[in-house]
Amino acid sequence: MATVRLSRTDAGHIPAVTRQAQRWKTLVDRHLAATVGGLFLLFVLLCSVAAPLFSPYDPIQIDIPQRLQAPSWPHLFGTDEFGRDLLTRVLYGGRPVLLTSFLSVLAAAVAGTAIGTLAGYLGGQVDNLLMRLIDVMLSFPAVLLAILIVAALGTGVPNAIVAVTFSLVPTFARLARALALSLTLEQFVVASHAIGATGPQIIWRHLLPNLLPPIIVQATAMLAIAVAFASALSFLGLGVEPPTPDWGLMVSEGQRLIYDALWVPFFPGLAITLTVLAVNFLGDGLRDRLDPTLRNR
Amino acid sequence: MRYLISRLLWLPVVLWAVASLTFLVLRLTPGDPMGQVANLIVDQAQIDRIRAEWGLDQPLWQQYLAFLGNLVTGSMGVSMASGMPVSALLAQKMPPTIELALFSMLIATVIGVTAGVLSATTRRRSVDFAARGLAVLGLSIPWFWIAIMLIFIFAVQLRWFPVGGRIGVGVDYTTITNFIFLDQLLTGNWAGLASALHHIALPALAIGLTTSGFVMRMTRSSMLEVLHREYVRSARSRGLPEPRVLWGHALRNAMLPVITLLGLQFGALLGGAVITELVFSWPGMGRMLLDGILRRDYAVVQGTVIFVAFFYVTANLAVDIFYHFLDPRLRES
Repeated sequence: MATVRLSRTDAGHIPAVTRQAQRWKTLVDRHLAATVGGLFLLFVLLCSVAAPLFSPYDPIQIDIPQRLQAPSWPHLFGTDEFGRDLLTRVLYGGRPVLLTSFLSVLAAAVAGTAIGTLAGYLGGQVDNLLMRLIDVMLSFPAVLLAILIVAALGTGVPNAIVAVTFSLVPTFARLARALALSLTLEQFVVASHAIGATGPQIIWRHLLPNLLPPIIVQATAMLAIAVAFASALSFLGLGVEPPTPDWGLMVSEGQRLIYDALWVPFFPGLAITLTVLAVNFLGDGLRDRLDPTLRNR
Repeated sequence: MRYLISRLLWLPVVLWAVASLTFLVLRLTPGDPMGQVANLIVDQAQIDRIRAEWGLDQPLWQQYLAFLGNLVTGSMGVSMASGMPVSALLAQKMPPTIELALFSMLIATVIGVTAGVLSATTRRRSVDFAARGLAVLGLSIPWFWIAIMLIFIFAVQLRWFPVGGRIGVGVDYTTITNFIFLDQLLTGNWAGLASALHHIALPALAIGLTTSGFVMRMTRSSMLEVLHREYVRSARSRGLPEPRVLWGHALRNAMLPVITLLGLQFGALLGGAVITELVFSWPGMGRMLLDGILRRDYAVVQGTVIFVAFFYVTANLAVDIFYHFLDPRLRES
């Protein structure tokens, strides 16, 4: 701690580059878990987006002579029962899960914040109606709500996105409502009312900017849940269709191979675990930073 | 008291809303419940006849009223795939799932609370860091994957536990309620009870371990808050042994938020059970729900979802009431 304080007070005498490096060092020291989590998440995203650059193999092409090979140099994660390189499939297999979870968290955050802000700002009957609706949605265990929606819409990535979005909306709506409710009582909102600001102006200029930080923290926490839900749906066979590589589906297809080829279900499941872990680290770090009461715990 | 009564009066309203939402979601979406059956029947007249039999030719609002009427009398329709009443299917498949969820909750509570207290009392030391790390890891592992890994380690490699099923093949047992533990206790069948425990251990551990992460984190932060309170200090100053201060005085007060969390997690546990069941070939609602979805057997999907949601809502209400009795301050107001 002492060195950090020194570098700050003497900032003028230290070359800019060192100052920058020092700042980064402080950031990493204080938020090691969040930094590692964030970087790992970026790494996972990069791997799935640029999968073709990392691997010489085809994720779908069947190559029977190569089937069920244990991990080795040419095939770091081994091969599956159709002789496909497992590392390649794990790289490609993040795409549906990550697409589903990122898009559904984004959609749920936007929809939930809109519902919650309106309910909290307008109050009265609108608030009552919207919140009872949210209560009903919360009466379903979230996984079950997602499964129900997929059951109605049918399988596939777009439907999975809709399903996961619906199961996440209530949490955002509740948070946004609580925040909007307490913000409308703040002096600056009351004052802008007094000088004649309209409802949309207040929501746009005062409520939303102040809502955003906690919503972002919540979104990170929800991202971990979204990845878990998305992979659970594809594990159940309600996501993408084979032979498209997908983490949840690969675990499901590989589970009967545990007697002689554990690596087939192991690596895709490890990929899900590490991704969720990274998101959780990032989320915890962001929350600690935003919520001062949690510091020093 | 007034709060409790108003909560109890709300219950039927919430249940009605849950049932209606389930009905609407399944009806207002593309996809014909006849799709599955129509593949097997070529004759249009036959399709029309079956449509009429299931009331699918009536306008939606009439179907809705019929659905509500049936629900009130406890009828949930007939499975299109098996021809069995859904309520009979549920009576058969619900006990295994509830048993699994209860055992998972027990494991999650024991592990989570113990780890949470340990971690709070060793704050910022290695035990604390290890416990917190394991908790985050636990809640990051997908249910289905930890289930498969537990099977690999404890059933395939070590052979300590069976790979699946509810009770050993060749073990004599009686079915009364289909709650296997209750039935064996009632009939005094100790061998059957032991076999059932042996079978439920791994699936319950798979769900319990992931949930214990949430329980541990909540226990830890709640304990940290309580440990600074006067009553803990005064208990210490009276010279009570530290374990009694921790487990008696502090934990009792710290448990309130944990109990709320457990109530909320019970829904997640049921969801987790639905998924974990598939890995352990557990004959519960999970398999039934998934088959219902894949066969577009709407009556089964509708019945299962409504049942689980009812159970979840009621469990949460029970937790709320329990909470009120635990905290005298809430009881007074």
